[in-house]
Amino acid sequence: MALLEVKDLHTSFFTDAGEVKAVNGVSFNLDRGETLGIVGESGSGKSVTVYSIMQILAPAGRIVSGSVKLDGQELVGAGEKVMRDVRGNKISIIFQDPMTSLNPTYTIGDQLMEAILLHTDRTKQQAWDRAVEMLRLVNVNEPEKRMKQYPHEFSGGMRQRVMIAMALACEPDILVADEPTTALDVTIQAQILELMQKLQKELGMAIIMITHDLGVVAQMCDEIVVMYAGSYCERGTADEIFYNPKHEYTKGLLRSIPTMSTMGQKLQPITGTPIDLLNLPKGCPFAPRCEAAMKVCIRQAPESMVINADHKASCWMNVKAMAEKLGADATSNALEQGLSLEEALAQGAEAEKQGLEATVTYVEESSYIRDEELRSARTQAAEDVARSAGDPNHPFGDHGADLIGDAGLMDARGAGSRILKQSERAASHGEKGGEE
Amino acid sequence: MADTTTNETPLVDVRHLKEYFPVNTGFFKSTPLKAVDDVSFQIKRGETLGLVGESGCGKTTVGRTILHLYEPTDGEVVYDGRPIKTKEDIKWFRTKSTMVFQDPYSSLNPRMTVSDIIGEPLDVHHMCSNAKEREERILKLMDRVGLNSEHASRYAHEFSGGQRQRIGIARSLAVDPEFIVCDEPVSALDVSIQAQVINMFDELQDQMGLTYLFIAHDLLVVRHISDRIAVMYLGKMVELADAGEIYDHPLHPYTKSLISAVPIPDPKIARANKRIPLQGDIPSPLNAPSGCPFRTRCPYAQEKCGETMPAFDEVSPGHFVACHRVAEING
Repeated sequence: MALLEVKDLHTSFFTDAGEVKAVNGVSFNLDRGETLGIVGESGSGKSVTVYSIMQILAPAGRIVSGSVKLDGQELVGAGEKVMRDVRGNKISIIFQDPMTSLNPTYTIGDQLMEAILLHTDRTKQQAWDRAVEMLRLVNVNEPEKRMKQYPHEFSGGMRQRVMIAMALACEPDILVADEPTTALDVTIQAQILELMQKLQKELGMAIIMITHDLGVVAQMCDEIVVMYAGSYCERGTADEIFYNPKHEYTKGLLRSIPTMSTMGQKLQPITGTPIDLLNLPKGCPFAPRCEAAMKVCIRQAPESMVINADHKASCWMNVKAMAEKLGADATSNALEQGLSLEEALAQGAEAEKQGLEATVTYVEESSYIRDEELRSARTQAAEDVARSAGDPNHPFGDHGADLIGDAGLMDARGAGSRILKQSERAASHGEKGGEE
Repeated sequence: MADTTTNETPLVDVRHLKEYFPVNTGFFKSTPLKAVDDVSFQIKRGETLGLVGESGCGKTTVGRTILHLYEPTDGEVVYDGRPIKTKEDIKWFRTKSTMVFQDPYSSLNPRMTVSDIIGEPLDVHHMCSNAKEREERILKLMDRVGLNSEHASRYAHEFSGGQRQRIGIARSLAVDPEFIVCDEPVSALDVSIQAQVINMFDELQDQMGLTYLFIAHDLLVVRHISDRIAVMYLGKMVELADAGEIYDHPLHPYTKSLISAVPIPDPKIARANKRIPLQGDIPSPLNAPSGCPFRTRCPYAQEKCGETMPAFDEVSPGHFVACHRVAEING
């Protein structure tokens, strides 16, 4: 049994503007001593996912459905009493900003001892000793003296060490690190990451690492979950995600970051802007920005599909690839058996269709479309978007327009004119859009 | 101090630039904070010089002092052969050089429309004779950075971070500059948007022949965009070389450590990467160490490092280092 099992978690914020679906069906398991990375852009729901697990959401937020099991115990709906015992004791969190997550009016010692006194039977003296021990563990010099100091007397890196000491004081099973090094300089970041790895080896806790920095993930994590607009795109081992990405968003992300070898080359950015969570499209949330989007992507959200034992992804491209492979196999089989080319192709097409039907629950007018149709579908969608984007208050009625929530005209124009390069519309919009 | 370029005249020549800020350290007592302390370098026309370092090392101050947003305490900036000294020089200089700021949220006036924001430099320098010309120029600039003309009458808050940064870039292009100081222009943006903006900087440079001073703390971004890279530590320049050279053969112990600390987005390389850890934090610039500023964290520090600041010497063609023990360490 895994230490932490998160299944189909849905969390929404109920605001005046409507329901914001911040987390849409995220599932993962975490084992003891393992490091899981959750990667995504701002607004992708990575922080809300762990806040939901710990139930420290803002008042407007609520877990709508799903299950979170810690050591077999269900936490969703377990009540505040149970959660108080879990937080800081079994699951602890380090926040992004070490400057604001410590109370400036209490000494470091007071703040360190609070968690220890709350969750253990230690006396005040014992708690003090334990706090000093923890500071020593995270390499803070002169811990006795430091205990009596206030947060403003600490540098950013030192404060993050104090936060780690505080989080680990009760020997939690899981340490959640929410962008722990984003506010720090690279050399300090290296120190903190190294410290976390060392402590994990010594204390054996599991770590959930939330970050947007793919470099940090590559260095730290065994398993990675990639999130976009509240849904999880892909999850797998670090090697699978980096060397064998099976979701178009992950692929785009990996292409768009500068690495040691991209010097002097053009980066390949993902076009458009992140989606507005108030207006989530019906289909795959990434479809409006996806270069490879198909009609089915616009209509139906992909289910999570097993790529191999270490890898799952939610992307229709995988279905397409699989069906095409079935078709190709059937065709070459038929040819080997001496059938004519026409017959073989027909058999291939039949196998491809069957493959699709087997994997896709939704087959209507053949759910994925060949290039020609695909082009026209995307053109249509882009035209709709471009038209509606001119007016921010446009009632998003037709299916092309509901692709984009936050209708940035520029993005729509970029998408529109890229596809419609030859057409008059693109020409009148200027060459710039086409280049994007 | 050695000459840092070849024979051709550099576009920007920074000579012994110093910027001290007075800090009140007691009643009637003030101590100079040496934000930039004797920095010299040159930027060739059409080149991108990357400037890296940790927070508080003075990289932003260098950028601002070059543009005379701060009055230099000492030293001079020579632009295209003309020393920038008098008010007239500065005014002229500012039609040639502009700045793109880090935070696209706070660097745009929330009460101004996009067209006013972009048009402001045109008004300041009286670059348009009539309203029609002004509008045409603004629309042209917006088109250049990929903004639509319909955005002209909107306010900054209606845009996403990436689009705001485009507005900031359009504003900096308004005076048709040759030289742009880019102060962490992509660090506030999401990864997928970052690449869009970086590519735009590339394209603008190709189209307009711009020269950049690109300040950033993300070393992978800097390596991607820069021709040469300068590394600063505590107000001093410690190393300067070609972008490839400085990554492949860093000579200063600080540069070595800095580069080894960069998390590489590739699990196999990241696991094999040998980091050179640095002890402790960057000292306060108010009481910077004597001699070499890095000696308190340097694994190779010796007595002589505390006595004098090492000279910024050219150890191989185009590769400058300020370290007493550079030969021994890399020998």
